[in-house]
Amino acid sequence: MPKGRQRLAADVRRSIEEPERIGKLWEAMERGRANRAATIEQAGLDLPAFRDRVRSIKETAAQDPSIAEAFADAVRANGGRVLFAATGQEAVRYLLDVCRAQGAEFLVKSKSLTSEEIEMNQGLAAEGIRAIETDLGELLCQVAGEKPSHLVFPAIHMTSDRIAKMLTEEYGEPIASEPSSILSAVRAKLRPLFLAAKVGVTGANIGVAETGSIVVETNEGNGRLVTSVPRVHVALIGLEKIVRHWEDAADLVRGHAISATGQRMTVYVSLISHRQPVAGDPAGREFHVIILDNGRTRMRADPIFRDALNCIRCGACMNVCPTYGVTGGHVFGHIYPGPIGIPWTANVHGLEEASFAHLCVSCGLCHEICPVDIDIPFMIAKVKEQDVEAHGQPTAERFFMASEAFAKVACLMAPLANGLFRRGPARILMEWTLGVDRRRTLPPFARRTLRSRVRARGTKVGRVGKVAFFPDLYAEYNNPDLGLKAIEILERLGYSVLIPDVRWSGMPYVSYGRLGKASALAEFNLRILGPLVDQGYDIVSTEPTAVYMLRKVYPKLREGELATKVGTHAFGFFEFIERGLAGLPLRPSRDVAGVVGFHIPCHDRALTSGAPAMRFLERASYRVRAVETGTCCGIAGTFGMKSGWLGYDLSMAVGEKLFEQFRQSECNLIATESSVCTLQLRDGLGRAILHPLDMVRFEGAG
Amino acid sequence: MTPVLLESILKGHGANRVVVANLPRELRDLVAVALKDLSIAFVEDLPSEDALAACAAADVGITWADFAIAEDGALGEVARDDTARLAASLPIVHVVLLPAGRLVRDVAEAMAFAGGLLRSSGPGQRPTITFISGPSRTGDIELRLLYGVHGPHSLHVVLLDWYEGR
Repeated sequence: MPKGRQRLAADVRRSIEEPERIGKLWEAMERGRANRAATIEQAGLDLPAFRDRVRSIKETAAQDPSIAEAFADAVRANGGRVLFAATGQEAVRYLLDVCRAQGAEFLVKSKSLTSEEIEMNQGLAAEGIRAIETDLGELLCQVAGEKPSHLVFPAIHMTSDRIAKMLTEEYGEPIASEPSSILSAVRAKLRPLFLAAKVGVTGANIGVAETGSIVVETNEGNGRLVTSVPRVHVALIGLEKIVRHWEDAADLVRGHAISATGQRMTVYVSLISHRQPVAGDPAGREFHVIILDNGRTRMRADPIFRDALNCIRCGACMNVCPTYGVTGGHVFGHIYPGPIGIPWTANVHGLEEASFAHLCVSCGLCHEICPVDIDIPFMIAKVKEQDVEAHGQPTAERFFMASEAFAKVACLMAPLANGLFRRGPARILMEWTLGVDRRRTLPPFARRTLRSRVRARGTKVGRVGKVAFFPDLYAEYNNPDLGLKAIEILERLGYSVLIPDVRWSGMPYVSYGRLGKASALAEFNLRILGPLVDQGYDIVSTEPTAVYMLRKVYPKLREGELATKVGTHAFGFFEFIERGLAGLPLRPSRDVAGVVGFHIPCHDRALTSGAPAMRFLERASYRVRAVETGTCCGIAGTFGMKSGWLGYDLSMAVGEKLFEQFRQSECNLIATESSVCTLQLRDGLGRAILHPLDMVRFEGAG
Repeated sequence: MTPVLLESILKGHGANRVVVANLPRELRDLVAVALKDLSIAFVEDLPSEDALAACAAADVGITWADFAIAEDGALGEVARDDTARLAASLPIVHVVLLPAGRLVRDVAEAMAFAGGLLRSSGPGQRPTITFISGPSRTGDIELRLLYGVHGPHSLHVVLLDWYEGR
């Protein structure tokens, strides 16, 4: 295994062995998501329209270099000074000069992720200037000598007991672990430093070119003190954060707060254009703005990584990321943590620091929650590609990318293969040679594939419409009964059904960073599906991941009309049949007395969030409710089949919360649509997991 | 009514030293009358070098908001001198007077209004505008909501229905 991943595996192991820490982090993430959802609801926000607006504002800001120029001119016209810093070192050097000119031995800072990006504090310290973090979470990290583990809640990994102990030592006076005592101690300790500071440093959430102003958003009010007490205020801003007009800033102010903490706006939103006098005296009051490039211009030119510049640093993506929830930002991050931290790290700190990309399981939830609609998973796939090209690929990943070829052979020798997969010695061998975890249940292979059975059975001609059924691997090789049942329903509803000569959908190519192969496969499938769409066919699949690939990923892999056309005609099975269901006499084939616990596969969250499948079951007289943690079950395709800490173990650690919820739900049946989620739930719960189609029968049919 | 209200707020906090900044001239007497028993300083009138110390030593700061954002319960502070922000940020109690009629609907309207003010003020003459939607708070310790971390622990807003604003 490549060195970077060996280190990563060791880190993951250590994280999993701290269940208490995981519990706290998980709770923080859940609360973050719940607050966000509640505020969106309460504010009556039209989320899709809001996302579109924020995206268009950010795209303009990130792409048009003339905005930063106009901003710089306006700052100068206000009497401020501007530095365009190509690198972090340039920015730090400038700040050192400012401090020396003031005779300052220390400065006070409010929270600035950009200053962390360039390791400003360390750069200043090397020259004898102390940077004092005043945001409470940042201050705690500084005292502990640790990196922030979350964008918005930097010290989320520390308990109040630990904080009290640490500050007692640092301040040399006893501090109780009651949070209010900690707060008073910090307030008392920092106040004299604020009052004596000659230089204050802030980041900027937004720059506004038309008046040469910055927006600084804080909750603690430390930003107010940093920008009012000291004689000199230096603001550091990434060049992607500058918009042209004030009207553009409104949606960003909303977006930051809602997505970060679920507030409607942060407590203090300061619009600062230059210094103000104090009691009428303007003497010595200086304003400096450092506009930071540090790789951003290069990212701007990159067709894939330019999307990262649209980030508003709200942290919502890390609140939903399943593996971040187990490992935390110290493992799942370098300086920038979480999903969006992967493309940022690879671009501003280098590929060597970005090996935590392999913690991404390609569930796609970060894209779904992003208020700027950033395709974070695709950028992560690109980082993985660069990494495996530079450092090699583990055998297990190569094996799972060959799943299709393997499935073909396994079907040919199905009884033998299934016997082997069940037994110990062969699985141990598979683990040693292929890296497939011996503890994971693998789905048995069928003797006859779906295609051969459909050929033997023949198809009916329908008058309602035409469907190209996309089986993907599971319905073709593992569970052709499922495919047949789906086809039967489609035919009963009046559709002519054919199975096109497509290959599998190929998600592992994306998950494991082989975008070239993914793209070639997409092209192959699209060339078959495109003409069918032209002939009036809709594409239907029982595998959520296949629909996700067709609708969300192929259009990204093969930009153009063909992929868009196919994507708009691709549907999940239950979504597709929903309109015609009224005429179908559905009967339950299982006990309907209890409740069905339904698991929503991640890839369907981007499509229908399981709603049509749940309605299908309800129509068949079941009582259904979604049992969910709001994030992934952990298996994430084949990720949880890989052996060890970077596979099965991490996957089960992620799944534990969901397993616990199912155990407590007292559901008598458990259902899900995805073939791989089925494996995870079965292994985690030791119970049978059903596909909704396994739970119904029709009047007059089997 | 307003002086009585102010007096009761300050009494409630056991205030001794009060700093006042950014008030419209014609409201100064009213505040002075209301707080006649306390040590009160109009910070803009102090020598510049004493302003910071006065605000740091006060337990209450009384300042002015030019407008408010209805949907968000946020104040719009317009400062053309930093004594306004020091008096609002350093004391543990912050009292804000707000003309009741000066309301905008939401952040979009507030930003349009603030943007207009900043544009029309001209280079180097622009005010520092702050939207304030509560007392200083943090969730950084175990996500527990705590007030008064650096700025005020308490925020009082006194709506003036008898005064239109400057």
